[in-house]
Amino acid sequence: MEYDYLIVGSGPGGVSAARQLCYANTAILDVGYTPDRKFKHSKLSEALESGDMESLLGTNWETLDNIESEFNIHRKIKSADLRYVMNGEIFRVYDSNGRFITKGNGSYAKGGMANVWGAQLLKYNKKDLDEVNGWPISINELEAYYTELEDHIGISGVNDDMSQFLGESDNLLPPVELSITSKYLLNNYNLLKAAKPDIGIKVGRARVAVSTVDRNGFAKYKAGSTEFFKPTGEGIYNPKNTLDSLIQNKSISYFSNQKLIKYKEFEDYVEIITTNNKNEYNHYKTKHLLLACGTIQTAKLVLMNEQLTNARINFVDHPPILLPFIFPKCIGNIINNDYFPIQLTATLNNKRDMISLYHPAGMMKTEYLLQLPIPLNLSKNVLSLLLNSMLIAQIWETSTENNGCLYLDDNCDICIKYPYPKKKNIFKLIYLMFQMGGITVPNLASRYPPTWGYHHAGTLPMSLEPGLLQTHTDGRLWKYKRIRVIDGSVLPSLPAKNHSLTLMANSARIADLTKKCGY
Amino acid sequence: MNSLKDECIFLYKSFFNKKPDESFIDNYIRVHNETHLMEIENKGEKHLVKLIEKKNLNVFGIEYWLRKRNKYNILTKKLLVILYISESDGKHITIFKNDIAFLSPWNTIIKTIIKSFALIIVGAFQIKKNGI
Repeated sequence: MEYDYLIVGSGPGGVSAARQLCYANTAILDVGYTPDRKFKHSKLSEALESGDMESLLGTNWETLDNIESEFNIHRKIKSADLRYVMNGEIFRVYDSNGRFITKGNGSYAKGGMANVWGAQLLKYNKKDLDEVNGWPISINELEAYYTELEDHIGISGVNDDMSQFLGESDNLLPPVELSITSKYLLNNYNLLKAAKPDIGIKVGRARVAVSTVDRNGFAKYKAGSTEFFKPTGEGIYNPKNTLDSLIQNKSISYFSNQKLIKYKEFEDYVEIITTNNKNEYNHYKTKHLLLACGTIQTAKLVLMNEQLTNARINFVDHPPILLPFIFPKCIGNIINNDYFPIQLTATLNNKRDMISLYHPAGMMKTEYLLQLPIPLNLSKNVLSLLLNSMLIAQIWETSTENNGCLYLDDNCDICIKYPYPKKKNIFKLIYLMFQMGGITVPNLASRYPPTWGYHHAGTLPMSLEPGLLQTHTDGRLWKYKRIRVIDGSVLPSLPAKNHSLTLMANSARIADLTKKCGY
Repeated sequence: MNSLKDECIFLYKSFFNKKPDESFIDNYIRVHNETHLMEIENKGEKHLVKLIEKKNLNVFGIEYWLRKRNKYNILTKKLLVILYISESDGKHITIFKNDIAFLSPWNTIIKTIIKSFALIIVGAFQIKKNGI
């Protein structure tokens, strides 16, 4: 089978490139693993009330896995129905002393990691790139793609105080509904700001790929707190939807059940070999191969193909810090849990950390019980009261130090070595939140392990003069003419913001350059 | 199997002051038989629940201190299994629901703090007395 453009992977990067290359003899290949069962409830409360224990705890009690160790399995893939999207390549994570920290998975599902994303799609700006250094492209080269993607996806939010940090955007959809606690915090922020303009923090509405109105034939988001039990649901953008439209329009070809195992570049074409679940081999020819298997899986693929299995390559991540805040004035409020979890965003002045403020819902109450430093029976009694008045701050820091590495072990399994980041001073945030009515104690802050946030990047970073295992600014692997990488692997470092929209914009940019390359 | 059944009844009673139904006990036993989560690696933990049950000690006061020592001790794990099953079986829904109208939430919080102190002291005393 011969194509002009062959994209491997149907996650955010692959689909974004496919949009640029449609109607141009383009095909997408992926494993496209599909579930054999689904979480059948539209709301978590419905599942709890019906006593559907199998859906909630899993056929094989999968949800209980974390009682053995908190980091045994990522919260987002505890549920049986989410695991299918995360059944890709396994990776193991070690700290700088070689001590095992956690393990994770890539994704083989249509839509890739977007099936479990938090849907924060944010633009980088010049300041972000200036701070991280090392980006061989300017923000101007991404601007047009950002705008086009925002129009296509539909981002909800408001141009407010956070616009200085997140950028102004036209055509934002109405923002997601705020919980009583979020409204209280935002109101206090505005009052405080009115009294003293420079209060040291900016707070604003979240920018998320959540349709708050019916749009383009898709229903608006139906809040139901099911995000930890099933893949992104109605109203949350998933590249899978775009891919389905492209397939339906016959603007691209799509082949699932294809796992890329080998590529080889010739003068005028690239030949690839894939395998399926029956271990049958397929051969494809293409003028241009675009790899979008995900930061970790693409890295492994390249290392294996180049027979560089002993190499250690760069790996960038930003492990988040979680810090719960209780708003005593909100204690006793009766609220439902049907809010989109990401409610507000914030950033401290003079710093470029990003703080996402979450409404704590979507998990079973038992998940939270060990967080309270009191006997379990009493935690159970008081937890509901506290959850209703709580927001959880997730703090993302800029990741400029390239101190992580990815390598393959003797069995060619993926290993990541990443030092736990240094302790962070969070006292200023605690003080400012206190002024806005929120209280916490520093001991409640927990640093999640590296890779836990799934913000992976930098394994095959773009460079103006790429060396071994690096890429050109048009995505080409260092010594190749027709093989490009278009996923998070090519982003050299990570500003504090979520990088999903940027990797999509960059993928579209590379696809455009591929189209215009003249060969 | 009987020991798991007795253990389930004891732990459940500690939470809810009543006996669990048969399906609850079945699920509790299934978690033990169908997963490796309840494998006991530490010899000291092997007879722990039995000892607490036999001497009718305060489960929650003791669990608090064991959790401080090791977050993943066997007693905490067993209590979490009781909670997971009860939260998801649809029969204990009011206990976990968070839209209950609390007439005086601060009363609940203050009572919880006082009770916590009492339980923690009892737990410390029983741990010392029984060499746990």
